[in-house]
Order: sequence, then structure tokens, then C-alpha cells
Amino acid sequence: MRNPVDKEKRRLLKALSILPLASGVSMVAGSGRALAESCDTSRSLVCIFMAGGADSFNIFVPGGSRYNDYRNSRNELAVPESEILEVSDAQQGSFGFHSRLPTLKSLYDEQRLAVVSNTGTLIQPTTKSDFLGTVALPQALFAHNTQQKLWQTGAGIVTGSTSFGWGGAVSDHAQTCNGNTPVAPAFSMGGTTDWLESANSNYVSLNADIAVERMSGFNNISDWIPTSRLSRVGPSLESLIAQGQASGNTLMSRAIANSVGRASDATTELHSALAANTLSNIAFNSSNKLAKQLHLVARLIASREQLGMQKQVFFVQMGGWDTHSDQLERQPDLFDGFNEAISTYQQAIDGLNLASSVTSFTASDFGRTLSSNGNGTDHGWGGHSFVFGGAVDGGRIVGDTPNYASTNNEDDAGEADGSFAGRIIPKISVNQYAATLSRWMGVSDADLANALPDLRNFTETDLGFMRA
Amino acid sequence: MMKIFSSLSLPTIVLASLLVQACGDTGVVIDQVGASGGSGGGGGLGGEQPTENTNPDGSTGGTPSTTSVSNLNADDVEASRFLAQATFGATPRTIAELNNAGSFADWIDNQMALPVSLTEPYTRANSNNSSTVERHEIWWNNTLDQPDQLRQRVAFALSQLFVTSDQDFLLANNQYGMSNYYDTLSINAFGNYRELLEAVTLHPIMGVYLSMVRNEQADLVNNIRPDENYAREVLQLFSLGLFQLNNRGEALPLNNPVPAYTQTQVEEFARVFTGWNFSAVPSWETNNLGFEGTFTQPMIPVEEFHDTGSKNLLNGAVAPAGLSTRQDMEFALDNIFQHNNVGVLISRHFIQQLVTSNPSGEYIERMTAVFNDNGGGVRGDLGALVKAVLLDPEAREGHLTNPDFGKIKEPVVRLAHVWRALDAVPGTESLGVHNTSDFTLHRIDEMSSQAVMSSPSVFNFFKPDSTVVTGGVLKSPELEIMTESNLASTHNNYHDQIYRFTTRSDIASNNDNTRVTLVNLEPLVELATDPDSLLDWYNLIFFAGGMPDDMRQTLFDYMNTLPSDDAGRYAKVQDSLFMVLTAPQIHLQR
Repeated sequence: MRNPVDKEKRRLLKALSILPLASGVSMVAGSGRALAESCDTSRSLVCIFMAGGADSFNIFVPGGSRYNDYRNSRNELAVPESEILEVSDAQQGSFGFHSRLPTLKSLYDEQRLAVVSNTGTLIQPTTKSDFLGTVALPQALFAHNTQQKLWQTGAGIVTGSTSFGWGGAVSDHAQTCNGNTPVAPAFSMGGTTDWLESANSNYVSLNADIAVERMSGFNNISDWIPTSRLSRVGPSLESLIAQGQASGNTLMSRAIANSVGRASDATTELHSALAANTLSNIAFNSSNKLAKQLHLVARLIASREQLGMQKQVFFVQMGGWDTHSDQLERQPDLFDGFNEAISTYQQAIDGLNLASSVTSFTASDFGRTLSSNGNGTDHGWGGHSFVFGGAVDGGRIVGDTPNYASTNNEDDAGEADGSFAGRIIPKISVNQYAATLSRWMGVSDADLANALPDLRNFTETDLGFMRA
Repeated sequence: MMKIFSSLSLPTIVLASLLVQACGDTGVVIDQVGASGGSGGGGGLGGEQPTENTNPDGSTGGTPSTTSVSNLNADDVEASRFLAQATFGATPRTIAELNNAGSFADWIDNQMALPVSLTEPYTRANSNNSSTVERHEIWWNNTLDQPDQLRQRVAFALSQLFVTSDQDFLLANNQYGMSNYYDTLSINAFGNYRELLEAVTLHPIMGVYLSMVRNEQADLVNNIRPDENYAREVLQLFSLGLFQLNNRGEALPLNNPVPAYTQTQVEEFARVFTGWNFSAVPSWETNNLGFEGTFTQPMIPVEEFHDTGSKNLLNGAVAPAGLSTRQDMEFALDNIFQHNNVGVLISRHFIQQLVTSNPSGEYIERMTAVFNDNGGGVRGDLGALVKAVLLDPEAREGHLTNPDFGKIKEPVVRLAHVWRALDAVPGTESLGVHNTSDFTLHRIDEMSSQAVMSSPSVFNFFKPDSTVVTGGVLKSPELEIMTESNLASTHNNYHDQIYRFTTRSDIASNNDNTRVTLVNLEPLVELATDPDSLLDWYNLIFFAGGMPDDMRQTLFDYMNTLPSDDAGRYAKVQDSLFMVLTAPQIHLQR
């Protein structure tokens, strides 16, 4: 088996001097006992990325007196009160989910879903005067690709060397717990993602639209190559990969060969594990792309034992959230698809009796503007995130919900003259959100400090929404 | 069958070289991939490679029966390299054509003068407008069969700059418009960037995709502001990029580069791009878009929805108050066009798409100069830029000195090349269109994460700055989509192509799919009489002379285990071609 743990990658990174120097604490494995404890329980973490910048202000809507502020800011794009499924928070009062998201409401009511309010990219706590002043702000705010990257890396800048994802830090910890499994315990069904990038380990990238197939020619697999030849074709294919991986080759040549080798190894291994866990009893809608991705996630979670994985990390992605136009027409479809996918997926996890060991959470490029552009919303900053699963201390809002008003709004990232931008300054940093979830997966404080250097700028490094 | 067979003839110069006994002297300096050691300071260990004539046992000057040696004509090799950059890959025929063209520059001039192969007529004739497959069919037929290869390759590169996508629901349902948009890129491929930028800006397909259509002036009372979508992306993706660039393509200082524009400027441009409606509809508000031309004719201005105030644009320029919708748009596009970043960004895009992922600063600087002035005082001459990109000394000789020169071939280009090189013909019951065994061509993004104008977002299939190693320096955009699933699917597609779908396959008795494209292996079966000749053919066509020696030896040794009768030679071709098309080595274009 070839390198699920990519030693070469680490060696190269060291040579390139882009790995932080080992800070004694983190690199020397702490006490064996602490490691054993953090590895003791099986756990899976699932990132559901809403690509394009989800309008979470229409997913979770304020009630009571704040509803009027919200409606005045949003104008015709506001969710009508008749389309709100009401829930309440012990401290903050009445809120509601969009009526197309009944699954979020039920999970909230069951205290298995928490709303993490007004979260976003931040280098340090930032007020409106900070925003207008000289405080360091996340780089290239309001651009899709940069803000996706900052969400997924927890970094404040997109350039430079802080490019590893905080999911990658979780994946490193999973590797440590799992031992040397044939396949890396980190999976993306949403394509390439910065979230799972790590200095130490790779992740497996699968397309949920098609079955995971083994590669013909390897391991004597082919219905078409005559047997007498097949047994010799495979070793030749292997030789060509090994030649590509030779240390004298260029970085790009080796990277290609490593990719091909990993593809063969991973598909071989996953094919048999998945065949044993079809979860065909769960009716996933095959025209719902997110549902298909989550179905595959559920099957891989069900395959923990076959794959020898105590810990796993997953990244799935749903597109279409960049609702600059026709928001009123597009949102119901987006919400329906999202709700359906979450619903069947959580049912599957419940059915496996694994609810308390699987936590799923949402993330997005940014929140959208509270203000309207006529029939849509533009790129904002802070937005709500949603965490659900049996281990979530749910049924509540984490953090203060923002000011929704279009005048005198201290949360608005507007101009000095007080004009309303509708872009809301986050109160909770991605770093805090990430740290809370990573710690539940067993990542040590020392490793968190490495993965999320800006975490130290925030006093509350655990938001408390995960049960121990 | 015979017609197909005879149409794939080797250029005489290749045949001549293939007939030369491949013993000892190679006559050509074959660049060794990776022989110069690792890159980026990371892989400098163990750079020893067998020299060309060294046998596995360390002796030199072996015999043909144990050592395979390449023997290619230097002109053919360079022609093949050039065609990998300028077309959908070299074939024996195009190598011969290029060698007969006088010079590469002459060939480029000839190519640019060829009639444009369009997609819209076919799509109109065959699609009901919401069926996407026909637009992909004609794109593949043009790509495989039409002579205007340079234009089609450049149009494909442009479609990855000015991105629109079938994955948008409304666009998917307007394939006449999508075809028209693609043809706009083809027609303007060698025209002027400024004109193309305006054609793209006003195209209703872009108007829908980035929601400029029906964008209105602000309504401050109701907190309604203009839509920032097109304003932001035209700056970030189509012209400037995020950061100020010098002419070498560097954003400095590295850890804190200067933004190319501010959020406030995005808002100002958003105000510029107000007041445009579909041309063919009766009103601003109507939801009925079912009129001829709605998605194919340029959008038209409607003054009452335009923001007529002044706007602060780039570099201190102010669009004065009172300009008409069209005047404002033209002022703004001129303003963008004059920004220094544009030439850098567009040059780098073409270089990365056609030649190398990691151009030197000097290469970018030379191309930026051409973009800024084509020699005749014209800024934005795309034809001049394409020509310069392909003829630049770095494009022609960079592989000789820089081990990191080159790029990963895009999956669509790779498949197009294989089909062209192997004279693919549509399956007997495919009605003249091409198909793979599991995917109709409009769905090959499920196999490879790439299909023409079908990317997941306006950020294309991959990002131009993604690196080989996270946080590293060397870029490899296409590596992003070499995922486990994609590699497995494309691998199995090539397996099926070679073992199930050739012109020799007995499709009927196999009860196999009669709609799948067939490749013709017969010319290769002839060459397989001398495995070294077959390997030279692979080396020339698929590696432009750069097939690594150890790979060649592996294929040679494998073929020596098979008999040399017709069935044995067919087996040699099948198995060696399968290895070639699925090996890691073939992904690299040097």
C-alpha cells in the first residue's frame, strides 16, 4: 500500500521551510494517557459546506421585536412571518426556521441542533470602530474563493504559508488514533478543499454521483483482458507508478504518480467496504446531489470497522447559494434540497445507532447582505452556522444574534458616515467554532494552537455546544 | 473500416525515422523528465537516472532485444511539442502539416485565417434548447474533426476565463444561447480583448449567469442597492485579479499584497452596470423570456433603470454624471482595460492553459508587453498574444533547462488527443456523435470533473494559483481535479476504449454498446512488428519525445512476452497502449 500518510509530502514541506518549527509540546506526543483518552471513542466529523455564500439570515430568522428590524432591512426578501417555524432560546427569546427547513426545526426541538450565531472570518475580536480603523481584517473580504479558504483554514490571509485546513488537523489526529490504515480517514465528496489540507496526511476525494469503482488492470481485475495477460499487466502498471514516484523525478511528476497510486489503493479498499454497507434501506433521493454525498458519508461511517477507522473526517458541498438574483424563487428549492438531504442523512445515522458519535456542521463562504439588491442579496460577512448530532448540546443559540436594523447598526460593516452596508461583522470567529469541533474530535490544545494561530486572540476557545 | 485504416497514415518523415535501425545512437537529445533532480529545493536527493544507453545491469550499448532505444526526428519532436500546446494534441497528420508549413509562425497565421467552426447552427438544428447534450456533441465533433484547431483550443481556454456553465439551471435550459456564447469566444479568439470583454459583458448568457441583466439603480428608501455580482467578478476573474501585480505577475509584498480594488470600487462598478435588459422582451419586468434572441442577442440599455450619478473607478478615474447606460459601460470597460494588471492576468491565463503552469517572470513580462502593444500600437490584441505565447523562447525551449517546465494536461484535452491520434470514429448506431462507454459527452464531468462550459462555478474547474504541495510555490492547477474518483473513472474509460471499443472489436457478438466511439489500432498493429517502432510512435505522439527511458523499457519488456503473429501484435498494442494512456507519465505536458 502506498502512503496514506504522505511522508514524502512532509519531507518536502520541511525542505521548503513552510512547516512551523516543532514547538516541542505539540510534536513530542503528550502523555500517552491523554492520547489514549482522546482516541478512545469512535467519532466522525462532517463539514457541510454551502458554497457561494448561504443566506443564513433567511434560514434562521429573528422573532419578536427584532423581526421588524429584519423585515425593514430585507424588504421584499424577508421571510414572511407565516413562513417561519417558531423556536425559542432560553436567553434570547423567539426565533424561527424557514418553513422549508422543518428538519432543522425538529433537530433543534430535540435539542440535537445548535445555532451558532453570526460566525465568520476574524483575526481578532472586531467592532465597527475596529473595522473602520486599523485593526487587521481578514484578507480580501467578500470574495468567494478567499473567504472559502479563510473559513477552511482558519487563517487571516490567503497568501503565505498558513494554508492548512483545520479539518486537516483533525485528520492528522485521526491518523494518529487509527494507526496506519490503508486509506486515509479523511474524505471529500465536494472536490478539492482547503479544509482537509494537512502537512502530514492526504484525503480521499470521491464523486458521489458515480459508484466507487476499482481500477481495471490492477489486482487482476478486468472482464476484458485475457487472464494470461492480465496477471502481467497489473505489475507493469504498478511499475510505471513506482517509476513516476522515484525520488529523482520532479515534484509535479511525483505528485501525479502519487495520485494515481492512491487512487488505485483507495478505490480497491473502499469498494469492498462499501459493498458491505450499501445502506440501501435508506431512500436517498438520487437527484439530490447533497443527499448523494451524505449517503456516501453514511456508508463510510457504517464502514468504520472494515476500514479500521476509529476517527473520520468528511467534507461535503452543496452549491447554488450565491443568490444575487431571483432569491425568492431560488431559496425554496435550495432549502428543500438541503432539508431533504439532512433529513435522510440524520435518519441513516440514527438508524446506525451512531448519532452520538457523529457531529455535522455547516459552513459557508460568508453570510449575505441584510440589504437587498432588488431581487437578491450580495456578499456579506458574518452568518449563522448550524451544528447537529447526538453529541450537540442543542436547542439553543450560541452567541448573541446580530442587530438587524438598517440604521444605527453597530454590527454593520458600513462606511464611517453611518450608511448601511448590510454586511454584518461576525461576533464569533471561525477559529472558535473550529476549536470547539476539533476538540470534540480529540485534537489537543497544542495542536489546535498550531492549526489555528489566531485562536489565541479570543478568550473563549470553546463555545460549549458539544457535550463531552 | 478500410477507409478509417488508410486515413491514419504516418507522415513520411516519421516513417523514415521509424525505419532507421534503432540501435545505439539516438540522434536526438531527449529531455529526461526528472533527470535533473527535484524541484523547489525539496527533491534534490537521489537524482541518479539510468543514462540513455545503460542496460538495467549497468552495461552500456545493449542490443535491441534487451534495451529499447528511442529514435525520433528532432523536427517531428518539436512539432509534436508545439501541437500539444497549440491544438488538441499532435497526430501524425498534423505533425506532417506543421513540418510542411514553413515555420510555426506561418502555421499560426494559416490557422488564424481558417473559417470558424461554430456550434450554434448544430445546436439549433438538433436540440430543443433545454437539452444540453447537442452542444457538447458539436463541440467534440469540431474539436476532433475541424481544421481550426488553434482557434478551438484558444476558445476552450477563453471559456475557462470568461466562465459560464450548464450547471446554472437557467443556462442549462438555454443551449442556443450557450452555443452562441461559445461561438462569441471562438469568433473573438484572435480579436481584441476590449471588444471581447464588451461582447461577454453584454451577452445575455453572462447577464444571467452573473446577474447583470435587469440590475437597477439604488432605491435608498428601501435599502435596495445595485447587484454587485458582475462588478466583482469582472474585476476579480476577467481582468485584474485580487491584487496589484507587477509585469512579472508578482503580487507584492508576498505576505501582504496590495488589493487591486476596494469594496467601495466594486459598489461603484455595480452602479455602472445598471439598466440592461434582454433585447427581445417587451418589458423590464416580464417573466416571459420565450422570444427569439432573448439569450443570443446582446442586452440592450433601458435608461430609466440606470444609475446616472458619477462613479469613482480605478486609478482615480471618474465616470461623470449623466452618461447613458451604454456610455457608462464603455467608460468602465475602458477604465478596466487600461489597468496594468489586465495584460499580466490574461497573459498568465494563456500561458498556463497552453504551455506551462509555472512561467518565469520574464516570460510573463514579455507577454504583458505584447498585450500592452502588439508592435503596431494596439493594446489587447489576442491574436498577437497567442502567437507570442506559443513562439516565445520559453515555450519552445523551456523544457531543456527547467525541470519544472510544463503542465498537467486537462482531462478533456487528453481524451480529445487520444481520439484524434487514434482516428476515432463514432459507434455504428451513434448517429455520428461521439460517446464514451459510460458517459455521454455532456456528462463527462462526472468522469473527470471537466466538460466544456460546465464548471461548478465561475471559478472554473480549477484555480490558477493552486499548488502541487499545500503552501508550496510550484503551481499545478489541473492537479486539483485528479481526484481518486476521477482517476479511477478515466482509467476505466481508457480500459474500455482499448479492450471493448476498437474498430476490431466484435461489438455485435459481445452484445456491446453500438453507440460508443471506436478507436483504430490497426496502424499500430503494423508498427508492433518492431516494438521499438511502436514505442517511438507513442513517444512522438503522446510524449513529444519525452517518454522516460524506464517507462519505455517496461513497455518493451512487456511486449517481448507476447508472440508476434497478428493476434500477438494486437495484444501488444492493446496492453502497451492501455499502460501508456493510464500511466502517471502521460499526464504531464512538457
